[in-house]
Amino acid sequence: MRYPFTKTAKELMSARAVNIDFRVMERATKRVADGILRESIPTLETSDRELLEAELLSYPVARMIVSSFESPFRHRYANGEVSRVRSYLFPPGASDPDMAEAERLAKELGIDHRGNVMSLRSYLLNVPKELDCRLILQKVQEGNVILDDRKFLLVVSEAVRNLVETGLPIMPDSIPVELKKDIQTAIKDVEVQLKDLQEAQQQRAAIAARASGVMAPCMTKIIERARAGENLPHFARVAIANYLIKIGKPIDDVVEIFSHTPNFNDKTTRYQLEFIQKKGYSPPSCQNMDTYGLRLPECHCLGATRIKNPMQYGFKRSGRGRGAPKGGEAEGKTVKYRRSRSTGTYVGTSASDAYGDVGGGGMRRRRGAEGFGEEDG
Amino acid sequence: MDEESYVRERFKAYYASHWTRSPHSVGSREFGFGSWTKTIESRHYAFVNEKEMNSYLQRNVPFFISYSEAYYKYPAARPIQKKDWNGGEVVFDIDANELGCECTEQHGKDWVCDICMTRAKDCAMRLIDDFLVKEFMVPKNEIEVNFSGNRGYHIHVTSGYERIKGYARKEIADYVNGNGIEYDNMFVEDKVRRKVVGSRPSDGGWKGRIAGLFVHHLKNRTLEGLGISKPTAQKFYNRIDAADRIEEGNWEAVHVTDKKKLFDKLFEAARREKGCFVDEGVTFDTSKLIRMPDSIHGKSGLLSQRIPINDLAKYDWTRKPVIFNANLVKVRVVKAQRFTLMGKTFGPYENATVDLPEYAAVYLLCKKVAILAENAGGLDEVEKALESAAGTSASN
Repeated sequence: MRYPFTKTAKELMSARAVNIDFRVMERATKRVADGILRESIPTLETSDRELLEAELLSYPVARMIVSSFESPFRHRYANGEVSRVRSYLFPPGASDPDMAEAERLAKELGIDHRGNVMSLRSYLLNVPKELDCRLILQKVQEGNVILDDRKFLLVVSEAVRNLVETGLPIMPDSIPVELKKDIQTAIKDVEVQLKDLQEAQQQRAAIAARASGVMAPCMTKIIERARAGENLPHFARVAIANYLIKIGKPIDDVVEIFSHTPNFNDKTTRYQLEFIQKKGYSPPSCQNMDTYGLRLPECHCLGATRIKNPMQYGFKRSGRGRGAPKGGEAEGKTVKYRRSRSTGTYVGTSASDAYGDVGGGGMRRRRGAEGFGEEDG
Repeated sequence: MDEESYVRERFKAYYASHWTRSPHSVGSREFGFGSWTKTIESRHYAFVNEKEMNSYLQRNVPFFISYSEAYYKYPAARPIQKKDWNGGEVVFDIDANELGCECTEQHGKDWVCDICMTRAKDCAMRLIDDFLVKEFMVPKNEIEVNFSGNRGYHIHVTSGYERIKGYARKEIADYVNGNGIEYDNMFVEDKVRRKVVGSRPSDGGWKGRIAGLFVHHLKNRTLEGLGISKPTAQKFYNRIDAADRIEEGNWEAVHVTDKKKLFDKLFEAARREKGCFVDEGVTFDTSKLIRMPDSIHGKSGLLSQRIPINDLAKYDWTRKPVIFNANLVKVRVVKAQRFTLMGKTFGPYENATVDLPEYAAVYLLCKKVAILAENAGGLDEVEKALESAAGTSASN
């Protein structure tokens, strides 16, 4: 069963007596781990009926497991499910995507379309966040949007992501009592794997940043501004504090930087920095730095370099990342990149590029801050 | 009696004698209410039905009544995440003071005049006719138009797009405003054949709209009106088949050295002439509260009013939403621009004591530029009132 999130799959499961055994649990745990850690869930190629059934059942169980994780991790998991679907849309060895399969899936997902002409409503419900998918750049005619194959596939992927994320998190009360114990074990298992990966990543990034001596230009700029005695905005303070602590700077060194700011208070600064250290906060993404006007052109982030966070700057620039310069900082990114290349090419470029970074998750451009105000008209 | 109490009395009399129609799906909406000094003083209110809402308005007489464009399962729950969002109308807010009219520079953003209000109405009509009906194919009976009660119009798409999330709503707002078109999106430079291939007027969406605008001005020999320099415009006029070439998508019939500069001007003109100037924040923020039609606006004393969509063209904001009577009220006006209500023009005033019809007096009191004459003592009080009025406008 390729698409366990569809209505057909749900009907199939509800029509028969299901047995959640260790195989299902194991597969569900791996599904969540692959999703959260690598944003890539491999497909299962087998004709074994029992294994196929376990594969199908592992999806709802995986949803129960992933529900205990915070929203960004659930988003990574959803990206993993999208990446799994991608494998079917880009069959290994094929030079072009399987558009017939994509159309079948689109139909299953309720996307209203005829060929590459899609209803505006369906498009807006599943609008991809790629720059060239912006509504203003589309041909909008009579309530429809005319798309090329690439954009069509991106919309289908977005619809998959939306469907996977809909209904998450599942409330603990809705989890069957007989599964609760096994679900808890699975959660712990994934948490351990996640913690290991995060620690390894942090160490690598910190080592790389220190070894290369290269700091993200946006952060260097904030330090310069602080040293010049400027009264930094709150966001800039948080960004630089999180960044410096994350790359392993001693608190005393960070305090020294803040000591030049006009409203410096040693006690408060130390308290805040220790709190940040305790919580292990990461610096804001490059996208958020951009939103707050702190990103610099020389950072070369967010574009082809795929640097999404200032933490990745030193790491990628130092060439230590596997898959660098194009691959990501995380193991998962690298895996995804390699896998995508193996699926063949599309319009003269890698399938991954042609299809877009649908597994990447992050926003490509500024999303306005959502406030709870009202218009003043 | 102070001004706040006086205006509240007038509002109270209105709500006591008029039944206020609730928005549809009233039980799923969140309500918010404003005071004399703040447009939203409290929110997270909910009403079971229209009767309960009317009862609240009659009892409490808020100066501002707003409701959520969103439908919630639990509209009174807080924080907002617990309300359980269940879709919402797509709302567009067009404010006369945000249209970049020249008159705004003269009368300031706190005032409106017939020029900017007419422009706001034109934008609303363009939004409905050119975008919602023609391109989005929204049936007219699913579009609601309201006069905001102060300085603009609100357009609601009531069904079909309820489940669209914030990100896509932002896309819609950018689309109707024409934000985000750049040279590289619209043209491809074929360096081998030294040709710039771009959009044709027959193309859908903004690309077609921009190409169409250029060809229109080219045929009418008014390219200068788009901000294009005379020599460049002349180059296009001299080439007889320039319009035909562009209609085929060939933009290189006339060679222009700095193409990007030319097209930036074209895009800017297109946004100005074809865009709708909607407030993006109102459209994309699904938790936004918006003025409720049939309620009185506390900054004008005018009624926020439903307008039948086919009557929008002839809607007169200076007459239709006026609800108070013409009995004379003596007020001390600190400073007021000229304004027109019920066909009569008032002002400009500066430190003047005048007898005004009640609707005009309430208008100025709500704008915080006048005080009741009975409260006007020496010049000091008037100056204080002026300072207070300025402070209040800044905070709102």
